[in-house]
Amino acid sequence: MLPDEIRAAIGQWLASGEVDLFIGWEPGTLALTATPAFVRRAEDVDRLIWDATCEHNLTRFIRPYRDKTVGIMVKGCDARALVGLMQEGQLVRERLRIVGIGCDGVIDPRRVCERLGVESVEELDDARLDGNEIVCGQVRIPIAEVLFAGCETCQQRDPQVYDLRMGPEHDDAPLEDRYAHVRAMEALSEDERWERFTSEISKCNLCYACRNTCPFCYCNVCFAEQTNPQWLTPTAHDPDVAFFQIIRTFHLAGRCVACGACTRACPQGVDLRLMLDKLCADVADLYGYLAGEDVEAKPPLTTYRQDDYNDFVL
Amino acid sequence: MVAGMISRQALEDALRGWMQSWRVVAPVRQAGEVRFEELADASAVAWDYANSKHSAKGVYLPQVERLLTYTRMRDDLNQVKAADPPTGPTLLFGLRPCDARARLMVDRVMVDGVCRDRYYAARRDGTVVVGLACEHPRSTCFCGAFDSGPYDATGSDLLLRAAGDMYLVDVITERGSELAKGLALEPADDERTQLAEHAQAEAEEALRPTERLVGIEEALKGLWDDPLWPEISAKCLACGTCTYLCPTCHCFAVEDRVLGDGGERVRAWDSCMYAGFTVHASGHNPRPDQASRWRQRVMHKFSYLPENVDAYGCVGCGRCVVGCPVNLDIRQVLARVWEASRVQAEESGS
Amino acid sequence: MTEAHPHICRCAENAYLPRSMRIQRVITETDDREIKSFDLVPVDEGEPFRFTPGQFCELSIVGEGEAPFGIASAPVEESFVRFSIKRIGRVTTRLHSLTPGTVIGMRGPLGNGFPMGAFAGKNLVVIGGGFAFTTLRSLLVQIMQGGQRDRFGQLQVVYGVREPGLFLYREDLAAWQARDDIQVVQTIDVPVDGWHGQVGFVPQAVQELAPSADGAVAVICGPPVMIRFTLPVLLELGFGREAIYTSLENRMQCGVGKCGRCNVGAKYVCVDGPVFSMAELDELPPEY
Repeated sequence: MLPDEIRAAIGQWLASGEVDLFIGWEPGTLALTATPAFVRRAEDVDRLIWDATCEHNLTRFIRPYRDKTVGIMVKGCDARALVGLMQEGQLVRERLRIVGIGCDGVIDPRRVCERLGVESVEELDDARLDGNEIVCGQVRIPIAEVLFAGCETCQQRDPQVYDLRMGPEHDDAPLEDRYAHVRAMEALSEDERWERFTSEISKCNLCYACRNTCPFCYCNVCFAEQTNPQWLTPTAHDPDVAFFQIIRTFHLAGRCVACGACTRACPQGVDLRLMLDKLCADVADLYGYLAGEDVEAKPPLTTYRQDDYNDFVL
Repeated sequence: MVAGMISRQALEDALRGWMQSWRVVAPVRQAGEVRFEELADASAVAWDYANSKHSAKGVYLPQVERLLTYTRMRDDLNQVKAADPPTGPTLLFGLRPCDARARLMVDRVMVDGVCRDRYYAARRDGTVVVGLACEHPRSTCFCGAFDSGPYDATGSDLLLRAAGDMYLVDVITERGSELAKGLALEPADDERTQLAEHAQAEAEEALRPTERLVGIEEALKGLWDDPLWPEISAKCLACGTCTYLCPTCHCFAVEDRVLGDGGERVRAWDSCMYAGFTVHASGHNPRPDQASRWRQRVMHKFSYLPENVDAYGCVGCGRCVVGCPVNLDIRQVLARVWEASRVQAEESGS
Repeated sequence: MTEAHPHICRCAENAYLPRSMRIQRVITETDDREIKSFDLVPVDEGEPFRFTPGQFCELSIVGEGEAPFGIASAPVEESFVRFSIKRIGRVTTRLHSLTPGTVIGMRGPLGNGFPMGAFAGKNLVVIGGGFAFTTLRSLLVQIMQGGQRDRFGQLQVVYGVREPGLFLYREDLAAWQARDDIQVVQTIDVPVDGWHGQVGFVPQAVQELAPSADGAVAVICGPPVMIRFTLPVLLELGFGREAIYTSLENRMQCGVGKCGRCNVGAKYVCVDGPVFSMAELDELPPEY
């Protein structure tokens, strides 16, 4: 629910010209679906919503408007993307007006469909949110049971940067099993891991939805689209797919804030979160660093400490 | 023309027979979704599916298709051999009317015009379609906007209409008539005929009403510089999912793959949604932003294709609506087009 | 375009299969070595290669890909097919490294070519800038050497490049300069030591030449900025938009109007073009 006073404040930002544009969510055209909204006029703030269908990380949409003052709604994870972008000099705090949301997680429509025994969300005409449940006909499902997998172990539900705050406060004690799925993968044999990796990425067709939805994939010419030298062809050849996935994952080491937007955007259901969380876990283990916490912090891959892990040096 | 009626069991038997000499492709449930796959087991057909997540486009235009193979030699950089397009007939079974119409439109681009694409033509010429009328359109279906509907027979050689425990079999083309000869048909009785007609009426009723799209090419004429393009495309991620799922999208890239001492030149699905689609080697890009790319998508489907091949590049199947990660709904875009054209007409006082 | 030009789709069974052509000669055209001409001859006896000036081909190198190039030789130059290639990307860089004797692939002819029938009996004003002179050479050589000089009226040519070392086809230009049945104005952007010819951008040169629009047709090929500033000059001189022709470039792949990439509005540059009159372009959206 978007509190009235927040809605009014956003309207005031727009009416006064304090922001040129406000980016939030509005209801989508499918059940249990929200869609990014670009609001420029104060009278249009009534379009904005906040609920567990607001799964997109909106921070990637600021990119074309960096020289303007932009208002934006961010969940805990999205707020960390803002921090990371400020660390990398992509955004300037003074040109942002941030509504930070204490978030209890976003739903995974695929899990909802499974629970309701339908193949796809467009068959759920009358499904809707009601408080902390999803209602579809006679069936009520607690939202907490159909969250996106990453939200279940989230440690960053509260935004640490904002101008206005809404939503519950959480006590995010470190969860021991935040990287349980990564540890499970690490415990497999090399052959099993290769099998798991190749079977996941075999679903990929190089649509780049993951890259395009990620706030940190902002290169003007992505390596995947360079023509000279040309690294990839658009034919979704297995080696090309592996190349893209591996390089993108490594390019995000120390930067990915585990918002999960890529995994949710993937039309093929590739478990991108597994690979990216592996890198997050490694960066945490090796450098004691978690992305997006502190705008003053130096990212580990741009700093050197005497006691840095260097077992790989021959 | 109704050839008769047949039970599902008899149809499955017929499929088993056809599978002996045809490549039969039908909707089956796999990995939690319905897909068009080569049928290995006739009882696996998903008779009651709504529509497949991916279209059946891969049957007539494979996602990756080999055009030629080559060996690399030091002084000869054209040691090429044309790939043989598949011969042997394909039976495309259980295709919805929207998808059957989509295939006809792609035919016009690939086979008509200045050039007959021999690879596409070989697949097309050997394919027979047994369509399955659609009893339960979804909220995202808008075939009605094209003056079509869930029981449209266009593009099918035979059309099956569910009638209680049986299916009525309509013969649409001569190829269909030939195929029907191999079916254990009974004369269609009044009861089943009425059931089928009733189901059709309900299905057509269930179609969510949308603004008619026939004639939208006129509305698009004055809208080249309209602000609707940057507005509707702002949230587009340029992922191309819409173009991949679409049964009419057919744009492709021609690329060389190197495999050891040789390789293959393939064509693969490409998308106008990607920035690199039109970028020149010099770096110049006639469509430098998502707004101009979305304008191309809409113009191609609703203005250029009608002009060039007298068919729309959309059949209202709704897959792009379901698949888009940001819910960029083409129905809303088209409604904006109509609205913008009305505003323009008012402002110019016509 | 109502003329029936030769076209790969009418003379080949498979429009995607490149024909083997041997590089007979490599000519470095420009002083900076960025543009080279390749004269190709067919490897097999096969069908003679017929085309109209203005058409193009896709040159193919297996493992690298294909790229489209306007045909720079004229149909009358039966013993070779010439392409002038600027080194700019993957395929062109590879092409530039090739030596005579190497075989590459060629698919064509593609596109619509200049409407030679419509040009007959007319005075021609041919304007080229920089690298874009390739198909203009094909047009001019066909007229000058094809035994049909008297089918056409006055011939006036303006060719502008940044500096003298960037002119293509200097032998042809010198030969034409020596003739009195063609007027060739070569101009460079800014004065350079040793250059005694005209100095100034192409639009100025055309203005100074002031060709008559009476019974004349203009053909203009060059970078967009050159066309943008030369067009008003031609219009001022009285040329109608239906009498001004240009050749468009666009990213192409199939070359036969299927892959959906090179369209400008409802027209495909590879099939309905690359030659268009200004009047035709007026009907199309400005997306090129």
